[in-house]
Amino acid sequence: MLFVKKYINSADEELMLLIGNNDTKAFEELYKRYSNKIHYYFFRMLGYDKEKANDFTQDIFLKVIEKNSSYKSNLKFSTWLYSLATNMCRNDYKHSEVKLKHDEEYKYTTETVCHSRFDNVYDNKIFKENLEKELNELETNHKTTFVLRFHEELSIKEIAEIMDCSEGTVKSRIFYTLQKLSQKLRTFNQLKENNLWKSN
Amino acid sequence: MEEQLNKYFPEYEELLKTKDYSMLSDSERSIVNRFSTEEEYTGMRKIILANKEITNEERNAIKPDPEILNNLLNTMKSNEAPRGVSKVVKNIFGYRIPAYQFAMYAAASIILFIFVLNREKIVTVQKPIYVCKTDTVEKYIVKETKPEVQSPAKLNYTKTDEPVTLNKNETPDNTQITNDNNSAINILEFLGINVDLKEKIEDFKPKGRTMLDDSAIVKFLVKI
Repeated sequence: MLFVKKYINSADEELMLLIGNNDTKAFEELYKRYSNKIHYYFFRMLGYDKEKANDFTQDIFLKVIEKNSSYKSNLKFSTWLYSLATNMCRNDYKHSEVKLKHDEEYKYTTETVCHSRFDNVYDNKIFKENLEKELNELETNHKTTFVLRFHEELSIKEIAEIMDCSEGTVKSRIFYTLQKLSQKLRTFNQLKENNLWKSN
Repeated sequence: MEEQLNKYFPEYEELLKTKDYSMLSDSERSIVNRFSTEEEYTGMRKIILANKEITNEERNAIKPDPEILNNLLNTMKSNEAPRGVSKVVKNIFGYRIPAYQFAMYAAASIILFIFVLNREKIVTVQKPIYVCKTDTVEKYIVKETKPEVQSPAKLNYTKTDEPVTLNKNETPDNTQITNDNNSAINILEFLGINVDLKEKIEDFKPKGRTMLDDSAIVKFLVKI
């Protein structure tokens, strides 16, 4: 019990040092802290493929075990982990056509979705579907920045370190992504208002 | 625009997350209006809120496969698991020594053998060490030099007395002192000592023995 408490109170960086000595309890604690977050990050970034997210989650934690020595303690562990994850996603985009295929599957216009659904009951679900579709169509860097900021809730500084760019670049990427999404979904909003007006 | 975005973005983003456009104060509205219209602001806010809802819903539903942790722990354990004794012994006997290892072993043995044989013959040459010593006292003997002997011709002479010519008829003064009873007194007078020493001279004569007055005077003079 005492040992478990020791691991719970330990910082990520301390746990990483223990993992270097093959400490399984330390690894379990670190896995508990980050597995859900990183799995969801992969899920969002790799086209909502749960199986693929599982594979990537296993791979990244295998790297934590095997490439433990490559971790520099001056860097925050979460930043290092998300850097690894982001690079894995980039490599996957380069080496497979999955993302494109996924985008093709969702290649339907906002207008068609709205028209097809407005005949029935409108709800937020449609808006969310459209938002996710638009997110997937974004350029990789913009999508990554958006996901890290609004899904993973990382700070701008951390995102800048992960993406290896300046904080200013991160801020402008977030702003222009929001602006672009807002413009694209404007049509949807107008249609929604029309529908509400019709229903009234 | 970029500079303003850098400066005001954190506040702008916070407003997007927390407030509708209608709820903004004048100062907040001035910040928002730097970057977007009311319509854009409302659209962005909607995206952020919808995204938050999606994330919350999905996070609860989407979890990693529990087998992942087991697989990873097994990997860790296999990395650290000690090998069985039988496996170690089998490895030792089953180990094939490559040719180069054998050659290296032989060469090393020969070098070691030569070294052990010649160990006594090895002469270590020590470098000389120079030490300054300052405790030595040296004695110098100065040779005596005799003064030069000058030839009589080189000596300087000074004339003190003029030569005197004596006449044949003249008789020289009598300088002889007669040895009579008053000879001692006469000698003293001759020497210019006008002291009545007749009695004192008696003191210098040993008692019971005869001694000439002259001898007594000489003793007296020595005493003086």
